[in-house]
Order: sequence, then C-alpha cells, then structure tokens
Amino acid sequence: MQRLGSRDMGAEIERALSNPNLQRALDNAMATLYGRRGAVLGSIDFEALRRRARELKERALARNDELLAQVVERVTELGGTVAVTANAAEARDYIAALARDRGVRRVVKAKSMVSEEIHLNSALEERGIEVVETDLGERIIQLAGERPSHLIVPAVHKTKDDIIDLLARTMGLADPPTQAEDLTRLIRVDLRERFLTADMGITGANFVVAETGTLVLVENEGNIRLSSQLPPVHVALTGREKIVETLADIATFLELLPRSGTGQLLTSYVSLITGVPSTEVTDFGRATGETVHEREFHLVIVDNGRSTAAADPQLREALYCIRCGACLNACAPYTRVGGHVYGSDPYPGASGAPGPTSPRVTPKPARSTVCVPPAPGAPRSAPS
Amino acid sequence: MLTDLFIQSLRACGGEASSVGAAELPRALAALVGAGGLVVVTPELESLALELAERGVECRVASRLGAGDAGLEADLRAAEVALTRGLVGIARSGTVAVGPGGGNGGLLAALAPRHVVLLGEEDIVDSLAHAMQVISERFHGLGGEAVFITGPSRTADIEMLSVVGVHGPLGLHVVVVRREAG
Ligand code: SF4
Repeated sequence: MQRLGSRDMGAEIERALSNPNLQRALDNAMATLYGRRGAVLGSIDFEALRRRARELKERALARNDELLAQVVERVTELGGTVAVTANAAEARDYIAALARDRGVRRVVKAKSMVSEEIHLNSALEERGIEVVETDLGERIIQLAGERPSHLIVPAVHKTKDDIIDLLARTMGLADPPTQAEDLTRLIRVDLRERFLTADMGITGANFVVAETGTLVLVENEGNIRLSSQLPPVHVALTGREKIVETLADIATFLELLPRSGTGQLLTSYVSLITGVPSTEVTDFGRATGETVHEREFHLVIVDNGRSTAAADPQLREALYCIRCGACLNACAPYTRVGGHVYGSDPYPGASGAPGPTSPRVTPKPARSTVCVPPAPGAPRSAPS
Repeated sequence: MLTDLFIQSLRACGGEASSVGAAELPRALAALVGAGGLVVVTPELESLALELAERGVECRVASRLGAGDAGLEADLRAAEVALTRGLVGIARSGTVAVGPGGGNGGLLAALAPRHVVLLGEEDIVDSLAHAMQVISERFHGLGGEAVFITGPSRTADIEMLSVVGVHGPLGLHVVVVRREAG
C-alpha cells in the first residue's frame, strides 16, 4: 500500500477506479477533448508553432526579473497598482487588506489556478466576504465544496446527473431542469444579479505582456469580461512566470492554447487589458480636458516558489507550461483516475510535478511513468 | 474575398454575419434590431442612433461615465441589444476585436443578451498576428481593454455538451459594412 503523508494513495486510486460516475465522466470528456484537439491541429504547422512558443517562453523566463520590473512600470504608468508578493500568505493578505479597505462584501471571481494555489477563497470567506465563483465549472465545484480536477474543465469529474442533484440540493429546487442548456441558464440568471452587485472582481491572467503592461485573459463564457470590467475594483492574480516580452508573442500563444485546450481556433473571448481605462469628464456635454479612471485595478504577482524552480534546470520546465490541459487528456493514469488523486493540488499532471506552489518538491513524479524525469529531491518510489 | 471567409468562419462557430453597403446600413440595422427591445449604442455611434430612432427603433446612447454611475447602470441592466463598432476582423477564425477606447462599450457588449458589431470591410485582415499588430498600435501609450470576440458566449463544462449563452451574449451578429463604390 502506497502512503503519502496521511494520504492512502492506493485506496484513493481504488476508489477512483471503482466509481462508475467518475469513470463515465472521464471516458466521455477525455475522448472528446482529445478528439477536438486532433481535429484542429491540421490547420497549422503545429510543431513549428510549438517550437516558437517554447523559445518565447525560454527567452522571457531568462529575463524574468527585468520583464517583471517593466510590467510594474507600465501598469503603474497606466493607473494600476502592482503588488509583487513572495509567497501565498503575502498575496492573500494583500487582497484581503484591499477588500477590507474598500468595504467589499461580495467578490465575483473568474477561474484562477493561482487563487486555488494560494487558497484565496477561504482567506476571504474567513473575513466575512462572500466569494462567488463565476466560471460554470468552478461554480459547480464551489457549490459541491470540492477542488478543481482539470486545468481547463474544473468539474470534469462530474456527470450531468451529479450536477442536477447538486444544484437541486444547493439551490433548493424541487424540480431541477435536466438539460445542459437549462442548467446553464439557471446559473446565468443566479449569477447575473451577483455580478451587478459585486464590490470587487478577481481574475487570473493567462499571459502578462511586459512591453505594454497588458493582461491577456482567455475564456469562453464571458464571466472574465464581467468580473474584470463590472465591479469598481478589479484584482488580477497571476504567477510571475506568465510574463512574456511582447504583444506580438501573444499571437503565437493564441494559435496554440485554444486549439490544444478545447479544440477551438480561438476561444469566444480573449481580453487584452492594458492598465485602467479612463474616460473624459464632460460638463453638460462639453469636454473638460480632465479624465477619470473607470475603476481601480490591482495586479498581484506571486512568486511562491517560482524563482527557486526557475533556477533549477529540471523544475524550470514546469514554468513553460501554458496550462492548456492537453497532456492530461492524453495521460493514461489521469484519464483513469482523474485529477484529485494527484498530490500536487491544484495542478494535476506533469506540470504540477515540481510543485511550483512551494519550493518543496512534491513526490508526484514518483507516480508518473515516462513523462517527467524524477525531480531532484523527489523520492524514486513513494514512501510506504 | 476576405469578407466571404470571415462570414463563413463566424457562422461556423455559431455567430451570425451579414454584409451591407454603407448607404443601406440604417435601414438594414433597423430591420435587424428593430423589434428586439432596447438598443444601447456606444457614444461613437451616436449619429447612427439618431437615424435608428427616426426609424422607430428604441435606442439609447450609453453613458460615458464609469463604475458607480447610476445612468450607466440603468443602461447596462436594460439593454437587450448592444450595438458597438469593431476595430479589426480576422477572416480565418471569424473573430472581431472591439475597443480599446473607453466609453464602456466592452462592458455593454458583455452584458446585453445580443451583441451587434459593425465592422468595416477594409478592416478585415487574414491572420491573428496581423490583427494583433492593429491592436498593438491602438494601445500605444494608452490604457483600456480590447476583446477578441469569436462567436457567442459558450461552455462545455457539463459533460462536454456545447451550450451557447453563458454569461456573455447569447447571440452575436457582425454586420460587415461595404464602402460605397465611387
Ligand atoms: S505541460 Fe500540459 S498543460 Fe502545460 S503546456 Fe504542456 S500540454 Fe499544456
């Protein structure tokens, strides 16, 4: 029996394998994602783009300190505030203090793996703030009191029937809808009012562009657009490895990320947010020459072990990850047991192996077969 | 040529698209959005709003003010159709980019159940890289948001079933405006 700390891995794996709902959900989702990706790779020179993306990430990571300084300068110039934080506690405290100062009672939140990494929601909730996840999958996970199990499909481990039961229970519905469309509409209506009354919006960022200080946010649902633009305060939370050099580089990443992630040429929305938009003040229709910022913007950049990982030639690999999730959909163990069994919460799969959540190396590479060389310090076989 | 590809690509990802001559635009738009409830337009389209109003379309120009403004909030809640101008289109993916430029056009277009975008035929380019260049020039020294929009809002979070219309618009219609000959 394999044991990791207090966890009994063997039993967890057995439980996952004998859970018929999980098996059904994974069978369906993994095959679909894998197939959709395959169908759209033909329209581009995938290998050339992958090499190019890799080069861009390598170059940016090698200049990470310099680019970080550039981001701070650009975003500040454009009316935003940047907080560079060393660890999870610092990032949490910054956001919690900001929320307190602004009298925030309700936060709408778009999907952010870094927020999962630093356990942001519980920190805000402990201070009496309502945190509303707005990505459909994340909302489902939040209502279920669970953790995401896939990088881009957080509730991939749930079947539609699981979700119907969950919504019936948590939303008090005697006669819940049964079609995916109606379930989605139910969430749209429930969350719309919360969006309109939120005091703060929190998002992640897929990329941060040093040249222009632009955040790039990739999504399909529209909840990122609302979370970032609607509340009077927008906080974007991201890891320092997300910084790339130029806006032109983004075109390369955008040719790859949606194709590999969901099999789309482009997702429904890609938001490019550069500083804080400002509006000219008019006085009875006449321009006054003055401008006001439409909202407040804070960019919170976390290190949390990333600098340590960047200094190590093997761990560094994880910082090149653009979190498309494609490796999970192709991974034999993942497709059988799902993401919760991995010991690298919240990042399942190979990219979670070095545990960028802390300088500590998680023992997960010991459970990978061929895709990840064991990281230095990681046990070759899980301790028993 | 690029227009045809643009229209085809946008339809392939669940959006609607049409092409009209500039002189025909007010009439064509009135037919498109006329009976669909309150149309809110961005300030840059104010003169078009007047023409639509003359044709009996219930139409309002969005307030320019930012978060916390009561007028803006009322506009955002009431809009059935958001009418905004597109900056650049990408033929291969059927993508249209809106903003930057303030005026809350982006927010309006994220909230309304239907989003109608006007895109000049000459603003359609072939690739994402090309479009990024256009946006990049727009951003030069300025703050603001630009959004690349490809079809209506959607999700596949429930058993990978494709559902259109989550938090963003349920419908997206791009009207490609042809420049008059001569
Ligand atoms: S490691 Fe996986 S999730 Fe990260 S970029 Fe590679 S395939 Fe995508």
